[in-house]
Amino acid sequence: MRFIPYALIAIALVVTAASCGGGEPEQVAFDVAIRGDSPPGESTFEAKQGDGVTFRVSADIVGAVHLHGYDIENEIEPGHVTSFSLTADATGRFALTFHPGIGGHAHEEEASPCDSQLDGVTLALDVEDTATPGNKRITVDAPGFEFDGDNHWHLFVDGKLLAMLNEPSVVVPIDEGAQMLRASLSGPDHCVYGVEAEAMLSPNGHDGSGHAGGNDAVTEILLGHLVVQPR
Amino acid sequence: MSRRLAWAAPLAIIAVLASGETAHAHGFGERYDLPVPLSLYVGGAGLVVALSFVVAGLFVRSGATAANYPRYNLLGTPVGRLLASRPLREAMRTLGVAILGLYLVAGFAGSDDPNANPAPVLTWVWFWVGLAYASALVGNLWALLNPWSALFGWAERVWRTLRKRPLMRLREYPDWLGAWPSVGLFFVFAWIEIIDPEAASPSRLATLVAVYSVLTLGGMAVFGRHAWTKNAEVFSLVFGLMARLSPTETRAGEAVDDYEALEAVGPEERQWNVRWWGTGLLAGPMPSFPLAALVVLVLASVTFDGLRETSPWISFASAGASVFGALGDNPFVVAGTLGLIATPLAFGAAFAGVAWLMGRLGQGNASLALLMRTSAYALIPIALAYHVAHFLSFLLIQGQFIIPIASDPFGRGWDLFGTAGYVVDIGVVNARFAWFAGVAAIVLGHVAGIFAAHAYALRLFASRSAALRSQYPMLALMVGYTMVSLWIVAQPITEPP
Repeated sequence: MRFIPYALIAIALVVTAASCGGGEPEQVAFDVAIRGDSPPGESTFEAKQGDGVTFRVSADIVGAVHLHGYDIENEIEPGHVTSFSLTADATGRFALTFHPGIGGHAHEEEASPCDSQLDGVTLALDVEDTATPGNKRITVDAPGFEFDGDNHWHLFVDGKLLAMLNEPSVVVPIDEGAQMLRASLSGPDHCVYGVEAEAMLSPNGHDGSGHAGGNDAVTEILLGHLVVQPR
Repeated sequence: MSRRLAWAAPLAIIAVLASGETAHAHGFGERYDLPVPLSLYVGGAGLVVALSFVVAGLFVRSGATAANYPRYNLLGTPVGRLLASRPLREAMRTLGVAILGLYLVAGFAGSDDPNANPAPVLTWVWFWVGLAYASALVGNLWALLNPWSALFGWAERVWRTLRKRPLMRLREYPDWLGAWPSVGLFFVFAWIEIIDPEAASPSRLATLVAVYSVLTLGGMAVFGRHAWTKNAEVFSLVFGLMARLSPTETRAGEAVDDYEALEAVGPEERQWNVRWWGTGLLAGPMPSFPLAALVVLVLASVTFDGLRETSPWISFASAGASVFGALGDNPFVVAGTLGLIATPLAFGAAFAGVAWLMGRLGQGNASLALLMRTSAYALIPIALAYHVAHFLSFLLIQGQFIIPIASDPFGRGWDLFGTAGYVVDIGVVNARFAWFAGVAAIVLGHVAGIFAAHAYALRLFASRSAALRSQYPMLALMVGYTMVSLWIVAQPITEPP
């Protein structure tokens, strides 16, 4: 067993060689852009243990970003930058994914009429296919109506609220079996102006019947990985 | 400011409503491992080569075979007798049966969410990883926990009480079949673990376990409990292999960890020994040919599990997607299945080639099959070492899912132990600790493997010089297997698209 001291020395050398590094925690920030009509690239977001990490996510599609492991989930509001921060205490490689849509169980709440009225504002609703099957670009046109965070619009699919939007044009995932889209203009505190537009969806080869559990099949799009190296 | 908040609040509510939906998308068993850095990979590789020469040199000087390794009988102590007492053994069996029962009920009637049902975490973390480590670090716990063995043992006892004669098996287990059923069953198990996209589905797991229970109990009824457990109950064989590294053994005369022999002798002839870790590799006779094949299959399948997450494999599977796509719906499943067949065949072929060279260099008249059987157990520490490097963080992080699930095993909103709200702590293992533990395990496993292989060669060949000569190709092969293990843990994990 005379080799044991040599083995220990060798292991110690390797440990020393691999333990280089250190330094003080830093603040790092990453910008992530999600476009509904083109598949995202995969990025690596590098950080060191203890760093403060901020993600600034912008998207033109309704959905949520999810940082696996740390299990942080944030709704994305199209047209705005959604920021979230964390302290990278745990080392590892954590997927950052995007879940299109916000689930189908959100029903419209009792909405009250707005105090002010929109005179002469009309609403047009247009639906286009995108390169990604299932995603549709939905555009509203409301001349004279300004989307400013208070004034916005709600999108309904078959009577269910899918999204609250502040951009006139968005890409949203639409279930295969969905039949009817409705847009409605809203004001402060989600009051309704009573200005609406509807659009029928083309059957797209499916009649929509016998389609069970469509809302459960949430797709996940990999945006990249947060890689936290030990300090 | 206040306007912004007013806008955000309903969105937050919708986010909460939606989060229940998205939980389905994260299949069970995500790994967060970082690749081992280059310096550690190179250092580990250098250490492997250097230690190989050191161990080989040790044999040139001393030539210890250590067949009669030191051991100490725990049954000679009051604590040992208490631990091995009948009530405690029956308690362990009852625990095994209770877990099986809970597993089946939860799998069939509990939550569909793999992260909220005990079946996936019990199977893929605590059974396949945790119990494998416990087998090597502590002893053959599966021999005590095995619920099918326990159930059938109880049935035998009831039969003996009621009918006043022992339960007889219907047929003799055929000699020619040997441990081949376990080889086939382990392939199926590995396929489900590594390839099957539905591996985390609780109801599917429960169905598979129910089918396996029927097969095992039926096999025991036809061929006898011991014959089936020794040959065809694949987990008894696999955990038994891991337990050869453990510091405990049972002994009845010359029979080590042979529970049929242990039951057959009187209490005064039974031994429950402690020994050094790894010395059990030298105990008992060499493995049968199918058992040697099982060792190679275990090594190759755990290695392939890591290999299929590396970017060269993903590139290969993507490049061949049109070919693989023609063979099945999902090209990655097809490529994975072919890989899971090809890797053990390649490892087996390399092992056979080395065994042939061994025979030539050692100038013995042993057959190729005998040469392969002689050295097979030396691959166990290499397989376990890679298993540790691959799964240690997974065990410590994903294994925590049992804490919230234990409070609500059937998904009924219970909180039995007040832990239902427990959130998995992903910071419990630091990457640096995982790297060093993994590389240390791989280096130690390699040293144990070449040590054992040399000892086996000394038993087989006439002269020490012939035995040492025969070990050059085996040394090269083991350095090769170990380098593959090190290379894989130095690769970033890549998921199929």
